Amino acid sequence: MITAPLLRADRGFHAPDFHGEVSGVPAIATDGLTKRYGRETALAGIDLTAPEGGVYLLAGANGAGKSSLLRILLNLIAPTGGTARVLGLDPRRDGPTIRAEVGYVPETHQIGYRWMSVGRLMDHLASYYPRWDQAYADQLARRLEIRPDKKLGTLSKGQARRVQLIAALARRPRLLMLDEPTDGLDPVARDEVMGLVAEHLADTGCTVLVSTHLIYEVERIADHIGVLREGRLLAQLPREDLQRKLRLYRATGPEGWVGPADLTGVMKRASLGREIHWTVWGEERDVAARITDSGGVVRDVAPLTLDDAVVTLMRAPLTGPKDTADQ
Amino acid sequence: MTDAALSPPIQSGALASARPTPAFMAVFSEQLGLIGRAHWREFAILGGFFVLMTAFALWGIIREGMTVDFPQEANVLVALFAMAMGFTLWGREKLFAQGHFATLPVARQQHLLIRVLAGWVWLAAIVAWALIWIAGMGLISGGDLGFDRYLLLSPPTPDGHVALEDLRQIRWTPQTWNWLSAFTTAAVFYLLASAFAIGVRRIVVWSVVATVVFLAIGAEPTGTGRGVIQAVVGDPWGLDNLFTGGMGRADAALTLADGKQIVAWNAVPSLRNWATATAAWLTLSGALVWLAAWRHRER
Repeated sequence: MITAPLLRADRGFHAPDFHGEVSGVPAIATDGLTKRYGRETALAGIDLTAPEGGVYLLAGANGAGKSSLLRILLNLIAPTGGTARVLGLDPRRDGPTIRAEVGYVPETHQIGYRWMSVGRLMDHLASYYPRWDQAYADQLARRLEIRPDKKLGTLSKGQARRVQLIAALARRPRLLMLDEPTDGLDPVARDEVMGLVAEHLADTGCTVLVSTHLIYEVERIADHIGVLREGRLLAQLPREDLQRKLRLYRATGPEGWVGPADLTGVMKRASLGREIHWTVWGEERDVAARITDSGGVVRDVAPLTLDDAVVTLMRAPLTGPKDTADQ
Repeated sequence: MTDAALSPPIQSGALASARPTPAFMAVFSEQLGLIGRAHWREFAILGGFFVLMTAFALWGIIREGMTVDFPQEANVLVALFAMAMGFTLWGREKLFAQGHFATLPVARQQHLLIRVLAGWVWLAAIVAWALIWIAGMGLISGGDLGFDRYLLLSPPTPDGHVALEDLRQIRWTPQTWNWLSAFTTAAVFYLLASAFAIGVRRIVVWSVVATVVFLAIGAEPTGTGRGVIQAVVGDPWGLDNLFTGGMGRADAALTLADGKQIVAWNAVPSLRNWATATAAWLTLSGALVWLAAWRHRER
């Protein structure tokens, strides 16, 4: 099988607009958010909208700017430009309130102070979060098999992540921000962590913004997708729009048939004998009609898994005018 | 999983409407507890030191009839201890890397100042303990913590000699402000160290730079260097006034008419000297801490 990514600006390709309408009251809304570190641009004009009560997957490769974005939303670092609203509040003015309302699991596995026991950490956090639910924290600790007398400095990565999750959930947040929550964890711990998030979500209906490059782990809970690449929000849309618009087409045609010349929004093309596979961004009816008009027979159309769809978007070009086919 | 409803929605109206950020006292009490717990080893070492000192002092008092003076010059040690405490308190916080401390739901500048205050309470308690110890030892030794000094009543002759009648022996005993000076000295140096530890990103580099500059000025105290040293040590706002109300500078080495060398005071340490210097240094160190914390403000 020969595969070839077809999205190349220098071949005259027109990059589609991967943005869809995100409806509902936004829990997070940013407008032209920019962050520069010296000459390096970490975020370049991010317009992100995460609806309240949803699970927003912020995908992107390492170094795409995900952590910087989350830290700006908590006012841990200041943006270079643009504005943000989190739960209707301005992080630059209401940073403490936002940090109180948000359960944040940072990218690092550090939490509290190394000399602290887990139990002391919980007491410490209870002092800082008036809504801290100690009974819930105890319940989570039992469930995740975290001993209260265990010193934070002796926790493994997996245990530290579990403690971070307890700390984030027991403060009863309106919004959960998880930065690479399963990074460095073994499969069992990963499953445990994501299972707990899913249960919490089902029980409380809080909003979740999860930043990760391990898409398959949040496949079962994500309902909105944002793709960051090189500091730009390349795509932002509801999950169903992504899976409706980005599809894999399998078609055959007569000897020498290469498919329609005017097929736009092609993200990937692979040929196997007389069978050609396209991953195309567009309305299924239009794409299928073009393939058929060019003499081919569409054998199968299938949505991509969320993991494949996001990876495909992550490989999409950054520049190019909007594709008329997807309007 | 046995907990059917792992995370039930918050039912209590009071809880749901509770203020999400902590009150001042909650943060202050927590920081007070944290500092105590985080530095228990240092405090234990300090306790051991006091036990040792007590043993030595009691030995001297009981076996050798030693009397205990008010160690006004020991304010230099208080200053060093306070500085060490200022650095120790912030050494483990990653303030410029937005570590755990920064993620807590308190306005950062305010949060830093609360921690500084909590640290100062511990420092003041230690200083108070040291003063109580001194007073106790003084009481046991049966003295008034004072000491005798010659006071120079008129300036020496042009050849540098002093007549015996120009000297008067006085007994100096600690005044209320002398006791207070231990607290204010500790506060000033604690605040200076805290300002440095909070406000400077590369503490080691800047410590080296500051030391080199200080040594360079001290090595050749002329011109600007002399002015700087005079401002830091001398009248009216210098460290000697801050520590002792001017006791160090009051000491003068004199030669009597019979050639005997003595040390006498040419002035008595004064509340005015101490108050002026203390007000200046507290204002400066307080402002520096405020500025250092301001670097980390919400913005």
